[in-house]
Order: sequence, then structure tokens, then C-alpha cells
Amino acid sequence: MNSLLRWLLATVSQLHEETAGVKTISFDVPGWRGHVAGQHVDIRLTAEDGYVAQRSYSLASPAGPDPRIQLTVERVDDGEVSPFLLDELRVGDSIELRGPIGGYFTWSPGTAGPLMLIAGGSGIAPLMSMLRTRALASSRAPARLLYSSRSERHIIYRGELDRLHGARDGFILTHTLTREVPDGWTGERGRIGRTPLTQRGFAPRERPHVFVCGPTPFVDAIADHLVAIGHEESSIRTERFGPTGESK
Amino acid sequence: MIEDIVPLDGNAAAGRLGQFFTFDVTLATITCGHCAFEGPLAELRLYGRDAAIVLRCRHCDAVNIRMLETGRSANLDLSGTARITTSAAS
Amino acid sequence: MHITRGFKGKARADAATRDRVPPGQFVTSDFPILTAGPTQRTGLDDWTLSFQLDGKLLARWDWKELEALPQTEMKTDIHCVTKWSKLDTRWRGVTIDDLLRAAGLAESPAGFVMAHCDGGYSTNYAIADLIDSRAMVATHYEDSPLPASHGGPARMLVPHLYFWKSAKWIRRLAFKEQNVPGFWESLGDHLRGDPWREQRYSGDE
Repeated sequence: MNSLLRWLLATVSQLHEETAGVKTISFDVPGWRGHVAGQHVDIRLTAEDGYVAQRSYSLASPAGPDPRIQLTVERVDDGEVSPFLLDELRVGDSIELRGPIGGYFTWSPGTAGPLMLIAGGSGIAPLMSMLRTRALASSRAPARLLYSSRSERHIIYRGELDRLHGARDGFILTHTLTREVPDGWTGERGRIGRTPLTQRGFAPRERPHVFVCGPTPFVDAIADHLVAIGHEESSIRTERFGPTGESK
Repeated sequence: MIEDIVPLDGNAAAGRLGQFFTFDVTLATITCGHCAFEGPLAELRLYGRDAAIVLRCRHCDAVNIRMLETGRSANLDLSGTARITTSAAS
Repeated sequence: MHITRGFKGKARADAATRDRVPPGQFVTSDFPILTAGPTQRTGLDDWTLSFQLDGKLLARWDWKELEALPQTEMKTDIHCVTKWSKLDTRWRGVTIDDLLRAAGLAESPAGFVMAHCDGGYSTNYAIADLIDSRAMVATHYEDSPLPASHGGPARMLVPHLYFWKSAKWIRRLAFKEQNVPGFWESLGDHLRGDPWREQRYSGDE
């Protein structure tokens, strides 16, 4: 049997509220074999009557062998898994988890070429793993993040992102706010279109590795813009999330 | 009524497909059995629910892969796939 | 199996509805959408419904012809294999009995049926599960034309079976002697799918 498949018992070691409706959950996972930035885990919840729900979440913690991992979870209204993770889960509880999973949406510090990241909302999580991994490796690979949030108070990891930007090690952060823009805001406004992708991202001739993560309509729109401004389709990697239909 | 359903990426099926493959099959190239379009399995369109998933060609929408977990068994149907190709390094 | 402390999933049926829904179901006021693929959008001008008997065309209706057939209203509970139930849903459409009559059959054929849909979906039934006013080709939900996301212009409605049997975007019913498994049934879903017997998967009694 494939080692990917083994369900591990992960114990909650810490809960941290990032924004209203978003928490980072830290787990200790005995048997964890280490991960690469951008990978995800499947989690499996089992009710006392045998009802089972399974979901995938991106790893937010940096790459490496550390069996202490982090997931950043956003509440989905009417969902049955995220409300449990945000409201019911306590430090010391255990849940089943398998991973790390997926070699497609991944980045390692040794990769040649600039890193171009585009996040919508909680789609920042796997991209944060890449930026944390880059910083821990003291990589000077040019990196840019365009991060779209509804409003200032919806920005996840804000302080840490500011610190990474302030390190002046080749990483440049651009925020955009789509709904509420405060007075004096110096970032971008509105949905990410071709102009910020051109002005704040890397040019196609710089051959960046592009990672886009967010709700499906966001990722679809960004991917179309990127191809329209000349990025090779093969250089763009996407990770969509959102309602896929829960029933049949 | 809620609005239309949107697909995810084949990448997200890596854990479930891991029950059938000893390597990360989402990195393999898959050839659509309908239109012969070739691309990474991770870029297929993923539809489905907890126990049942459908992976469709991103070019022609034809069903390439179906999988159903019943609790007693995991079932994989590749009849919509013409070919799976892995590099020697995989 | 590890029980997750505090995890219940969606609330199960309460005392008021327990007798009314099959075992293990919870009652929802939403109308969740299933999906084996993208929403199909066939225009009414291009839409037809065909009946086939033993591989030969028995009858075909275009949209206007379908609307001219006797219209039946059905108020019913529906039950999804993913454990939600929705009570008192109201539908309008043409029963399979009326369609068979319109196709010129004095009595229904014996055997089985495969429903074929836009987008490549299919599901199988025993003919006995579709006749005697138990099933219809539904075109309206709660007094409005059925939206494409819920299977419009027309879907199967077979409310006494799990809802995967109520196939969206129906285009063709093929009547035949053999019971051939459909899209999910061929992968391990139950051939019949009676929610009261919890016939979810092949091997459930």
C-alpha cells in the first residue's frame, strides 16, 4: 500500500485566530514524513454514528521534516467541516489526516527563475508556505505576491507578510482590496486584472513560475488574464477551492 | 437555489488516487480518450462529492476518470483515458 | 476508525421529521447541487426527448410537444445518498405513464430502463419504479421553469429512490430487457437505490 494513503492521527497543539472566520490550526503529527511547499492534506472526520466527511486543506507551514504542521481554515457558511474545525476543535483533540499530498502545485527554493504568487482570500495558505520556505532557506530568488482580500480586516498573515516584504531580500508584496478600501490606502483596489499583473508581477520573458490559488472564479479569471498578457500556460499552476457540490 | 457548481483541479484528487498508484499519478500526463488532448492529470477538471469524483478533460469536458468509494471498496474507472504517461524519473 | 470528538456532521432529523425521512438522513431547506460535470445548457429549440424500445426509436417529442401532453403536479420528499432530505418539494412535468401512452403503448414494456442525459450521465431503473405515477420528466420546480443548474429544461424525478436516480438534463429513455448499470451504478452504487432500505452501494441489501 502506498505511504500516501496511511491515515495518521494528528493532535491539535495550537489554535490561532487570523481574522474573523479564519483560524490557523497547528497539529503534531507522529509519523509525518515531511513536505514540500504547496502540498495539501486530506482530513477525515467521523461522527459517532459513523458519518464521515473528508476535505482537503493546503499546508501553510514551511517545507521540511518538522512533524508540527499548520493548516489555515476559512469558515464556509453552511459547511459541515469548517464550522467544526473553527468552533468545536480544541487543543488536545485528535483528527485523522493523510499527507503530504500532491506534487503538482509545489515550489522548492532550488528552483531557477522568479516566483510569482497570486492569492485570493484564504488561497494565501499554500503560497504562504512557499514564502516561509523561501525565507527559511535565505533564498534570494525574486518573488512577488499579489494578494486580493475583501477588506483590510480580511487580510490573513498581514504582519508576517509585511515583515517578509520589509526584509528587502527580493520579495515584493502587493495587496489589493476588492470591497472596502480605507482612506489613505496605498495598495491596489478592485479585482486583479491585467494591469496589476503586468505592473506588479513579472513579465513573461522573465519566465516566472506562477502559482494561483483562490476560489474557482478568481483562479479562472486570473489564469485567463495571465495567458492574455503572454504567460506560457505551462508556467501557470493553479489550485482552486470552493463549493463543488455536496450531493447528488 | 444556489448558483452553478464550479470544478476544482485534478491536483486535489491526489490523496484518493493514491489508493491505486505507488507514485503521484497527478504528475503523470493523461491522454483524453475522447479528443486525445494531453496534459498533467493535476490539470483535469475535478467534480464530485465526498465519496464519488469525476475528472474531466479540460479541453473537451469528456469524462477521463471516475472514482467511487463505498466504504467496502474503492473503485476506479479509466475507460475515458486513452493513455497515462510517466517520465522515467517517476 | 477514529471517532472525532464533537463532530456530528449536519444535524440528523429531529423528532418532528424522524418518521418521515429514511434512516440516517438530515432535513435541509437548501437544495444542494450534485455534479458529475459542468452544467448543461440545451436551448428549448434544440431539446428533444426520445424513447427507445430494444434499440429502436419509439417516440420523440420536442419541447412544445412535451408541454402539450398532460401535466402532472407532484408534491414529494426527496432523499440524497449524501444524507440530506428535503421535504414537500413541488414539481410539475409529464409522468412516465403519460409519456408511454403518448408513445402509443397500451401497457408499459417489461424489464428495465436506462436514462441518458446531456453531459454523458446515465442511470438505470426497473420499469416498475417509473410507472404507476411514481416518476415523471419534470420541467418545473416550485412553479418556475427548472433552472439549468438543477437539471433544466427537464430532469427525471423518481422521488422514492435516492436522488442520483433523478437524473438532470434528461434526453433519452432506453427500454430494454437487461438491467445495465448506469454512470455511478457501474462503479459500485446500488442498482436500485431505495433510501428506506439504505441501498447506497452495491452489496447493500
